[in-house]
Amino acid sequence: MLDHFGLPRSDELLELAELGVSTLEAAAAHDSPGLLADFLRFAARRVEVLAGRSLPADALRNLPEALGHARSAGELAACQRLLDEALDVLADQGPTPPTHLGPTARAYLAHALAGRQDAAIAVVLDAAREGTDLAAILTEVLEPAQSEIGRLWEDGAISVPQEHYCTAVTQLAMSSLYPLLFERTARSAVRGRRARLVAAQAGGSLHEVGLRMVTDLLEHQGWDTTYLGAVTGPGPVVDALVHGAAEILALSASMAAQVSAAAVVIEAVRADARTAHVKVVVGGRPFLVAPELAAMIGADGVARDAREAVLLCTRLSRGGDVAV
Amino acid sequence: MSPSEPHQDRRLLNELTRINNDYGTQQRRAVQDLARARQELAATQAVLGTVAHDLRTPLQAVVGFAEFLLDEDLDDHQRDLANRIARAAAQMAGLADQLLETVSMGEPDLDLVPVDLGTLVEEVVSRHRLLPARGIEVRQDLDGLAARRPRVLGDQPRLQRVLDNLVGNAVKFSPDGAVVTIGLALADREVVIRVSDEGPGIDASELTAVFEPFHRAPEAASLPGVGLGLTIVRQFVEQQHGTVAVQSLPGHGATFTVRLPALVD
Repeated sequence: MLDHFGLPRSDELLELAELGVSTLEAAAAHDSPGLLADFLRFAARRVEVLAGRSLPADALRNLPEALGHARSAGELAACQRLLDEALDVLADQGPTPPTHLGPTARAYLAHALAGRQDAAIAVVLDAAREGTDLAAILTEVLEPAQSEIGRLWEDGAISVPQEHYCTAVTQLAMSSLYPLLFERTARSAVRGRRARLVAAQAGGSLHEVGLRMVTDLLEHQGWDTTYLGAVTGPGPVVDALVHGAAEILALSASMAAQVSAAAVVIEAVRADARTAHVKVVVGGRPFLVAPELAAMIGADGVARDAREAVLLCTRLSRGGDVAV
Repeated sequence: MSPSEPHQDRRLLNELTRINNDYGTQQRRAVQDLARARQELAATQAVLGTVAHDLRTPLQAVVGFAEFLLDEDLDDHQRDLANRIARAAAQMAGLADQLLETVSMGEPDLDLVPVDLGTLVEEVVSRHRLLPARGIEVRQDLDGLAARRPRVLGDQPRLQRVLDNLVGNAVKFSPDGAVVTIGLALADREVVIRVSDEGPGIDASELTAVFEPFHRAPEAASLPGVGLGLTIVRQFVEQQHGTVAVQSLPGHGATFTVRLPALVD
């Protein structure tokens, strides 16, 4: 693929090309031009950053043909149609604007970007000590800061290791709030049954901050949450739902290829009589750019960000219907 | 740098991310479990507190009426029965008191005053001399004190309870006719209290568990108590910025050592 675009075979561009192939396959499997359009926007920006040039439009248009040596004529035509539609969608999209950050988020991000982990975490803990609500710290400081970290990396303003470092600082900041979060939840726990949720990242996704944030926010709201982290199959999810008698499953995917993994989990949950009643909420980048995927894979709801996920889970736990 | 190194770096970075994520997930679970355990403990303590409180009043009535009965003109058999009732009820009232102290341990409401520990030791020894049990002698050893009387800034009733519990525990585990020694010394701005017995000692595997709530030594199975005496000791000592430790060799008795910050004049 790199040869087709006349791009050098650097490691990062090779990785981008691999991601492109898996995204194309996922988009074809779910007939989702939105998934492909999002990747093309991202890929065009990364190629500019990594190779200092644009992706030529004509080379993009005939990409399926260039990759189609092992495909049937029908598959090739479907891929071409998908790509054409994706390029149309892409034409309507501009570059990702900078994330709006409040003063605390700006201070936090400045420390994280400068490699000052302790100072970044102190910003968060000071805000908590001064009485800032934990939900506000998560959604108004850490979530936007994390979005901005992603955008800066995509734009080539920070390197891959820097992006990983900053994300690790955010994870540590969230962990630093745990004693406060869980002690408060335990103290304020109402008598009787609390709403229960299991959360997992489908397909072994390494991007965990968003889902962990949703889980922490729900715990803060008085829910009884079980955060499983990355899972590669449905077994642990079904077990956790049964063991925890949970009524909601929150599943996240960070890449197009993980949508199928989420579908496999949902299918297993529906097929098991012990968990068939569980409501499933999905989130993550693929569902943000192609929300129709949620209904296609059998989810009960889709959330664009952490606050929306909390509202959706709350509504579903109370037996409310949600339009997917 | 070989051409493969950047790819390896990326794999390493991903592996580090995976490990970091797993660590975060485990940490979340651990903090969550701890909070749940604390909550359950608090609920259990609340129930225990209520039960202990509700038991206390009727038990004190039983003790009181049994003592009235002992003032009556009773034959030997009747007196023996009344004595048994009084002792058993007093023992149960003591357990209820211990339970109440245990459940209120988490909220120290200390009344800190200068306390002369020499006097406190002498009082504890006198109390045990007044009620000798099974020929066991309680001795004080104040030789390490020279002329000065060690004092601490402490809560007198709780310090008294610490000494009573340690001496009571030593007496309980001592064979008939044995000696229990309570020593007092000053060392490095600390007051050191040592309570030694000639009992069966404590197995090494039990040494850390003896201070845990409701822990019962295997040798204590037939003895009265619920396993709270030493828990109360540790809690009261730590509330007053002290430490308590135990040393023992099975078959050669045990020594409990309490260290408290000395009050410097």
